[in-house]
Amino acid sequence: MKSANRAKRLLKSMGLSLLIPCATLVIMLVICAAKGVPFWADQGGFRAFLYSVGLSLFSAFALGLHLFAGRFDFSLGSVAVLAGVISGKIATALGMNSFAMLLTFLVVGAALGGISGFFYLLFNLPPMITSLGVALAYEGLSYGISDGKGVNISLVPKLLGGAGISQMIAIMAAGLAVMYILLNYTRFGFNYRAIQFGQKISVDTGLNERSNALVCYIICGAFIAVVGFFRISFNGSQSAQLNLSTSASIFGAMLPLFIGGLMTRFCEQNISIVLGCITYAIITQGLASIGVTAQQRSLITSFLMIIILMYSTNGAKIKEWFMKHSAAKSAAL
Amino acid sequence: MENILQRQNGGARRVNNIFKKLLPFAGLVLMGILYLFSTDFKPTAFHIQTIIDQVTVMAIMSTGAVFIFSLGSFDISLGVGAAVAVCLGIMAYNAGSGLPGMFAVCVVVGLVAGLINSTLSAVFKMPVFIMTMAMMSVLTAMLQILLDGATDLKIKSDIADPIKALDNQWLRLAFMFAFFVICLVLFNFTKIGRRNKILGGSPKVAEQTGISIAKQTIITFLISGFAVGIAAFLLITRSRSVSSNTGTSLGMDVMMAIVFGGMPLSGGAYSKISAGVVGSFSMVLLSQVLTMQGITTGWSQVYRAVLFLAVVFVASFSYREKMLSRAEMF
Repeated sequence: MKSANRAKRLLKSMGLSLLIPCATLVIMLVICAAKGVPFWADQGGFRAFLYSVGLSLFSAFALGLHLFAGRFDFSLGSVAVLAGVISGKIATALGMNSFAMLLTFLVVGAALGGISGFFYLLFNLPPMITSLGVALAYEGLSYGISDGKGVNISLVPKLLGGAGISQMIAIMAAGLAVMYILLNYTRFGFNYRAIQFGQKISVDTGLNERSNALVCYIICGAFIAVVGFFRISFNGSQSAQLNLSTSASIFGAMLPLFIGGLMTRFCEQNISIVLGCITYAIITQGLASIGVTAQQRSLITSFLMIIILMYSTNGAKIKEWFMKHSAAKSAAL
Repeated sequence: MENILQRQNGGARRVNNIFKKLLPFAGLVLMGILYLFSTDFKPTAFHIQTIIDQVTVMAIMSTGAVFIFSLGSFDISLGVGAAVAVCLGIMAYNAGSGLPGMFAVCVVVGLVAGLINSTLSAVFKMPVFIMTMAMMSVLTAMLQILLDGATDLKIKSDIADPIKALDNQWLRLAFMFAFFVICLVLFNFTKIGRRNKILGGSPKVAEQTGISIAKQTIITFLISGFAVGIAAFLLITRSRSVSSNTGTSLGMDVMMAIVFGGMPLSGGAYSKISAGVVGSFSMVLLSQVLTMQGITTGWSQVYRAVLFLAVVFVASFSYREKMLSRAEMF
């Protein structure tokens, strides 16, 4: 009986979790069919879809890990770019293959994330402020060390293998598994959640908040470096950017994170982020297929973000209003 | 014994407060000296014009943004908001609105952006930082749509003369000075500034003393929006064009200028209206020094970042708490 109930609950949660992505897919397929255009034109379209999911997934993992802990890190985008420039240069100089380049990205990203975390711990100021300085420095470095040219690996075919369909799926699955285990089955994850929901109590009971934050920065650095890896593998190059333009790529991960946030009550946080990223990619792919321009897509997704944010902060009030309204209606009857 | 200790503590606090007040000005003087060294103590009219051109827009926006900062909030959509105002201002002018019409469009766009931000924040209780990030995305997309795929939008050359006549650094300086004086009065001698400081110090205390948080937030964002509108107008008189890159870094520059100017990072009672102007001058002087030393773009940004971190590090001495700094994001 108990196991039957459990299975029923599990099925219900799964159904509710998949409701938003499936409904979005159906809507987009219907719109595409009505317009007489295919959702994916060819295999290249599916690869681009996966690439989009991969970028937002690893950005959202890194951004989310900070956001849920009450931090916003402006430097994440610059870590991806600087890791791209450094690792790309190392990989071409040492004649590495794609897998070795991925490992280099992870190490460089983790180190850059660690440095960013070190400044946060040193200053103990709002991370938005410290990360602003770090982002400027990282952008300047990526521009300075590459003479403004960035890095180009398009002429080294063995370095471009990371953006194949199976490779991207494998990397995303590994990323999800690592994040799931880290947050649910390690001391780091336990402490992270304790601080997330009760910073003062956790610190007062002797939990080392500083080491937890530093590990957080290192993990986020490694995860965001994967974004750099996908980008360089898919496009064959990584350009250097200045004037905090790297932060724009991180803002793009906000909507998938918020869509995922709507599903957190039905499934585990990391899985909800994956579903959020898939939903986001379905929306953008669908809109692109029916000929909506990149600017219009950006406007639509930005409005969507505001609506979701509005619902997230006022959901309880809306429900209360509906309940009151229906109670008043039934009383009148 | 206790009295002596209390007196000593009070003295140390006073010294600390004086140090905190003087530090941004000391930084500005230092930048000024470095700048003079770079120009061999003979700055030309062109040098001064360049500084005024760069400072005025940033200083006006930063001064307006101080009101938001004093609440302990950030608005990173300011730069893009200014770019949209510039774009619509140019469109209005090209359509024949004339100078007053263009000025009105710039100011109205700034005010509307401020009103939307404040309504979302005060009425719908959305977290300010995240909400302004969303607004930044909306405004960026709007700007690109308004540009309609073109790299930039310019004032029509056959009707550009009246605007060219306004391309004058003294006029810009006058705008900056007038706006600063208005803000100085509003911030230091009226209920608006006082309430902002209380609200930034403790929203709970503000609420219990009868301050309407929603009303105060709306007033604050409207002041900032007005600053955006004026800055947009001055941007048009300076460049007579707008591109998709206009305003990209302006919002972040404003944030950095305010920090450089010695604004307390948590807002509240110690907020200073001078932070915007002092910080803007410091940042522009620093950029000029680096340029004149022949430092290339990328490395110049690294130097700016290092100095920013150094300033923030010094500022952090008066801010340290037992626990790490966090904020409620949702």
